[in-house]
Amino acid sequence: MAVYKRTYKAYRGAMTPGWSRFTVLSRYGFATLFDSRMFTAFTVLSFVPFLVCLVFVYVLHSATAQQVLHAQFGRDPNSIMTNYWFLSFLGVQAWMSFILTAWAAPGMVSKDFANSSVQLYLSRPLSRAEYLLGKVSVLVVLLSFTTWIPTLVLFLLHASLQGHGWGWDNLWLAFAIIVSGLMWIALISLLAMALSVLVKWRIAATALLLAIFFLLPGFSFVIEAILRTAWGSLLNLPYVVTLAWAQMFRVSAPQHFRGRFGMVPTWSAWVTVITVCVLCVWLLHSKLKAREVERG
Amino acid sequence: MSVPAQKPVTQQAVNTRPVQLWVAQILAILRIELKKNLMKKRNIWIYLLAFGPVVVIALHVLLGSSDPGGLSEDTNILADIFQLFYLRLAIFFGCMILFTWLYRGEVVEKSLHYYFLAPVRREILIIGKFLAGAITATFIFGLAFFCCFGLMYAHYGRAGMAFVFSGPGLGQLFAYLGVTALACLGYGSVFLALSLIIKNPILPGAAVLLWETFHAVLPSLLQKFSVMFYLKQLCPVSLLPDDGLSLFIVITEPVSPWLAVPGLLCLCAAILIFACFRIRRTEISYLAD
Repeated sequence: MAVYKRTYKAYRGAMTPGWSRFTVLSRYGFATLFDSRMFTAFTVLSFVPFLVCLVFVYVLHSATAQQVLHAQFGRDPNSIMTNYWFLSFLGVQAWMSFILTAWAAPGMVSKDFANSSVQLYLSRPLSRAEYLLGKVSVLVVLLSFTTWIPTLVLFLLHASLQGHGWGWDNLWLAFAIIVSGLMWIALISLLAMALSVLVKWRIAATALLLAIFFLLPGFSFVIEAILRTAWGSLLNLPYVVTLAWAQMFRVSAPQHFRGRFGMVPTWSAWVTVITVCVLCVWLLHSKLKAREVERG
Repeated sequence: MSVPAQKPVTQQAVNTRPVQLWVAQILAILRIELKKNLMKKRNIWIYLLAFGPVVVIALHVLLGSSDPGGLSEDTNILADIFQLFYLRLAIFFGCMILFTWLYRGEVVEKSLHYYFLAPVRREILIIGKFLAGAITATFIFGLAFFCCFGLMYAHYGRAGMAFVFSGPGLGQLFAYLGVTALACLGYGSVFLALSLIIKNPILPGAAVLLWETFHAVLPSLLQKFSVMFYLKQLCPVSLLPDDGLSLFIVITEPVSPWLAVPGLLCLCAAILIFACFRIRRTEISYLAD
C-alpha cells in the first residue's frame, strides 16, 4: 500500500484489561533493569546470604551433616534461631535491598520527568496512580524477594524442621517479618521515587538517597551533641527503622542506641516513618502532573 | 571615536608563550565556573549541608548557658562535629555533588560541546573546572566552619576570646580551615575522576565512603590510599576511636604534617593527571543521563 494511503485508523485490537494496565509498565521496568549485567549480577549476589543461611539452618537440624562437617552447634537449635537471628538476617538483606533501590529506582522515574515523557504515558488510558503503581511494583517485587520472602522461607524451614508446634507458637515472628519487610520497602521505594521526581536527574536522586541514609545520621549527631537531646536521632532513618523493628521482633534495642541522652520512645520512630511516607506521597501527588506549564 | 584595534594573537606568539595562554584560559574557565557554582539555585543543597550545624549552634547559643566551665566540653564537641560530620560526611557529599556536576552536569545540560569546540586544551579545561570546584567547596565549607567556631566561642564572652586569641583557639581554627581545604582538594579530585569514568559515579562514591570510613581497619599500606588517613593526623584535636571499631583498628605509624600534606597533594595530583589523560579520549554522548 502506498504511504499516502496509510491514514489514521483507531486501534481495533484486544485491549489490556483496566485493572492490569499498570503491569505493562512493570514488565518494561523489569526488562530495562535486567538489561544491565551488573545489576543482574548484584541481584544474584543479594541472594548469597540467603543461600548460606538456608544451608546453615539445614545443618543446624541435621546431626549427620554436623558430623560430616565436624561442626557442633549444641542440641537445641532454638538457642541459635532466636528472633534476634531473624532480625539480623533481615537487617543484612535490607541493606542489600537499599543498594538495589539506589541503583534501580532513580533511573525508572527521573528519565520520564527529565525527557517530559510522563505526559505521553498519561495521555494513554492510564491514571496517575496506575503509572506510579507500575513503577513502584517493580521495586516492591524486587525488594520483597530480597528482604521478607527469604526471611520468611528461613522461618518456615526452621519451623518445619523443628516441629512440635514451634511455627504456631511463634506465628507472631512471621507476622513481624512480613510487616517489617513491607515497612522497609514502602519507606525506601517511596523515598527513592519522590527524590527522583523532585530532582529529575538520576545521579542527583541517587546522591540524595545516599545522603538521607548516611548524611542525616551525621546531622542528627550534631543536634544531639550540641543541643544535648536524644530527639535529634529522629532524623536518623536507619536508627528509627531499627527501633521499630526491635519492637516488632520483641528484642531490646542495641546498646549503642542508648546514647548519652537516652533513647527516643518507640512510638516516635513509627510516627517518623509514617510522616516520611506521607510526605513522599504528597510530593509525588504534587509533582506527577499530566500537564507542564512553561514559564518565561 | 575610533576604538584601537586589538593586536591579534598569532600562532607563533601562542607557541612561544603557551604557559601565559594556559593561565589566561584557566582564569577564564574559573570565572565562568565560579559564577555557575556559587550562584546557581541548584547548589542550595550544598549551602544547607554546610550551614546546617551553624543553625544548630546558633540555637545552642540562644538557649544554652555561657558558663566558662563548658568551654573544654564544647571544644571536644566542635572537634567531634568537624571530624564526624564535616570531614567524613558533609565535605564528602558536598564534593560529590559539586565535582560530579562539573563534568556530568555539562552532559546533562548538553553544553559540553561548547567547551570542546573552543580552542582550549582539554587538560586545561579539566584543571580549570577542578580549581573552580575546589575554590567553591573550600569557600563554602570553610566559611561554614568559621561560623561554627565563631558562634561556639563567642557566647563565652571574655573566656572565649581568651581561648581564641591568647590560647590554642586561633591555631586550631587555622588547622581546621587547612584540613577543610585539603579535604576539598582530595575528595574533589576523586569525584572529578570518577565522573569521567562512570556514568553514575554515586554508587562507586558510596564504596569510596565505606573505604574512607573503615580505612582504619585496613592494613597500613592500604590506609595510605585514603584521604582520611592524612586528614585525621592534621586535625588539632584527636578523637577517641569508635567503640565498635576499636578492636579491629590497625595502628599505623603516624605521618608528620610535613609528609601528610605533600602526601595528600601527591595523591590529588596523581588522580588529576589520570583525569587529564582520561578527558583526552572522552567522546561526547548526550544519551539520557
